[in-house]
Amino acid sequence: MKQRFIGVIRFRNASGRHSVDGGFWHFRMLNHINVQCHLMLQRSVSDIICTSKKIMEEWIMKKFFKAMALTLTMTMFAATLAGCSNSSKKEEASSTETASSTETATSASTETEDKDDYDFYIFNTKGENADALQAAVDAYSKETGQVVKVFSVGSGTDSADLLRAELSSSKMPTIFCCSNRVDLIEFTEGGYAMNLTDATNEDFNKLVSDIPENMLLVDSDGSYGIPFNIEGYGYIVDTRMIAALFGDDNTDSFIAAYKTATYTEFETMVKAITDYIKNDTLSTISLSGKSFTLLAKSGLASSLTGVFSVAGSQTWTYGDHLINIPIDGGFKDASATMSATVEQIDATKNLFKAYAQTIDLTSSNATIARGPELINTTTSGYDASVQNFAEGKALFIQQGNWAYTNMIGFNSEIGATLTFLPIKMPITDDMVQVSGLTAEHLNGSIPVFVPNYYVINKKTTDTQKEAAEKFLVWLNTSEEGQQFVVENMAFIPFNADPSVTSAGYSLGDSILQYVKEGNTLTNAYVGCPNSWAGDTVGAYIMENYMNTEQWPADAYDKISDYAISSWKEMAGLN
Amino acid sequence: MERYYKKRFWLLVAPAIILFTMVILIPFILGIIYSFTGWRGTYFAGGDHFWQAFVGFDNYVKAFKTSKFIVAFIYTFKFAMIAVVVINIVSLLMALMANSLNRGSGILRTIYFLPNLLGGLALGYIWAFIFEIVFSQILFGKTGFLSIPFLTNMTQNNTKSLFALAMLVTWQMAGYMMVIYTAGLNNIPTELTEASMIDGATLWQRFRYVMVPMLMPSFTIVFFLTLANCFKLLDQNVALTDGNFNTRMLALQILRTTRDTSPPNFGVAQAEAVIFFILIATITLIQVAITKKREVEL
Repeated sequence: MKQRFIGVIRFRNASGRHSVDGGFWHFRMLNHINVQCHLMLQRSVSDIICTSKKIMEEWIMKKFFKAMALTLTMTMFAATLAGCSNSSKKEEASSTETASSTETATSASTETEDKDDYDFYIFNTKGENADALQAAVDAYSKETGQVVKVFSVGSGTDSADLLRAELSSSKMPTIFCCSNRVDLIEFTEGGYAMNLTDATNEDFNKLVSDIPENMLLVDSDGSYGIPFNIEGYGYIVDTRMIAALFGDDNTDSFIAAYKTATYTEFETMVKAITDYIKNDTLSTISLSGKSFTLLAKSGLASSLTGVFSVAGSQTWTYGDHLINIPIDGGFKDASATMSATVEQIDATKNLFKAYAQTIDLTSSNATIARGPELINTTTSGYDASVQNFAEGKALFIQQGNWAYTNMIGFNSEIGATLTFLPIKMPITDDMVQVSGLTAEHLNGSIPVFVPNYYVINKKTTDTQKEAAEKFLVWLNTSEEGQQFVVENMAFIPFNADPSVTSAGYSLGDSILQYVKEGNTLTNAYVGCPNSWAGDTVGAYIMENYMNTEQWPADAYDKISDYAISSWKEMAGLN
Repeated sequence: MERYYKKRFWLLVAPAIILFTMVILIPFILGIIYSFTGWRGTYFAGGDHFWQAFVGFDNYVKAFKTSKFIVAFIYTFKFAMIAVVVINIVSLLMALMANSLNRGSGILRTIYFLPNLLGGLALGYIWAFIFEIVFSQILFGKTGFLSIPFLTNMTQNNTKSLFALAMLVTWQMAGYMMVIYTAGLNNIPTELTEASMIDGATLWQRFRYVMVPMLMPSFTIVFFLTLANCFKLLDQNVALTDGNFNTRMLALQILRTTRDTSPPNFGVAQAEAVIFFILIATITLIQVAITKKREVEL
């Protein structure tokens, strides 16, 4: 630190009898802090210099650090403020400040219109189509001049509590989403779900009457929801892999023969293919009476390491989706499951044993051997299992059409050649409890269902409800709206006519094919007690069976008994 | 300075009091009130307002009858026992080690403290990877360096998960506790240690008769913090096991209660939360009272 010695200064006290000498320096610190100091110490000059310099440096450094600290704090504060104001996910549709919007706004009863700055508010719980919904809403606003507010949760977030917070606030969503009849109970009891018969818009009533009966969101008092779309799941297979295994000309006949095959033929086929993968044995498989011979390994077939790609850690794959098939054998649909009696549940014992047997078969012929590794989230999570399939390591994966984008993300070539094959279970006609349903139908169909519904909020104003109804009509029946639904959101519209519509991608078309042929099953399992399927039965299987290589002889019985007893317990029936 | 602060006391303290009241006090009181009603999150089962939906102690009875709650209770208890002991020992050892070094003690302390900066979820996912891949496959599995069955697949077994969680929590919290112990160790007057050495005390006697009594204030703080933190553990539990294999701890159980019931029974969840609060408050108050008695005044 540069200093300039100015001179010696002498201080006297008031009476003049005592005096002290000190040095007088001029310091400049950082080119802008000028300090002048007077030093009065009764010590030698060199001590004065040393002590004074130290004291001055410390004091200046302290000031400097304080200034730095203050600056940094302010910067952090400013950054937080900026971040907070930008990170809100709420997007307002561009409101045209034209006469048309004010006209529409003031044309109906007005008080609330003045308070809210939108015509109606959509709360979207499906994070994956946030952008697409916003695009649809923007197009609708441009066309009609209505101001729409859309709020979408992040993909994969649990939106239930967020929705509840919004419903408890004064600016409630006009349209929100509800998955199934069990979730509906909360909204009907709370008075939030509007009965569709109370709708005022004519076109809307027509739309409602067009919904197929098995796609309604109903309870004993009425129907409440407009379906988002339809989804389906089953064994996804790459037809090129079938061609590599059995020959190009046999692919179509293989698929047709598989659909009508029995479980025993399926089991033999699976074991034969596992043998082929491990030992290169070229056996002949028979499906529905037709024979197919395995070809020598080449091309795609050489990358196979297992027949099934099983996501052992994801209990919802075998706990929720797979358990739906035996339940479909015991109950007609979700309403029947919701009102299941003890006798009906007890009668499903053999169906659940068949279910256990299927899990045994699939998990022992999977790409990862049964054991602790199969239930690790890191090695056999959802993404890992989809990747295994997309890279050609497995022949089948039990998933739904929602996995399509993931699959082409891992392997873009696989997109065009995917198709669904039915899940097979050793169910016989005497196990089936539903009248008119045969085991053959169960083994030849895929579950197709509505995963989510738009529900209108009963507690909002009539104008808002009317505006919401108009929007839903536009989305589901107008050409423009449907374009957004099919292309941007990649949905299969529920009111699609299967003979003319194409979903635009392989798996969607496959589902429409099954719908056209009438080979569909319902999702009866959603009527079961909350968290029974995946979290209770699925967790039980994962913790006790998926991680052991050899199952004891009574495994099927134990699984079946546990499923039945926990269902009865969670439904409060015993 | 003092007068400056004294004159503007309420003004300066107001922001903190307002925040505390709005964010902690009011929701706390409301929560206690709602735990006596049939609250469902968005409505009250029985009326429009909470005073029309009183159910008395029903929610508390239901909470105690839920087997999952009792299991979570016992599990949290077991975990807290193990974790508190381990954290205390490890952090005390760390503090003693760092203190005894002449050079490099600063760096050592920094390295010990770093894990504390990670958030709970990130920590859980990192350790899930370590337990599932590094421990089970590379190091201690059947094909690893040394085959130690206890250390393989720790997240897939109820008892082993206790130790897995304890390891995780020790790694995170020991550094912070070490800082407290270091401060405590530095406050021990050197005269006492010198006097004891002159009197011929061995290392162990010195530790037991000089250091431990003088460290009692630090023990108080560390026990308080670790006990409370272990009982309240949530993020690491979700990220490591997500409650699989019956490894749900209390906080996670409260969170999942609304998912387990349909319509979501927030009243029971709130009752569980109140029980949780009473439990933790009781334990920590008892512990503070006991250790305060053993402190030595300087």
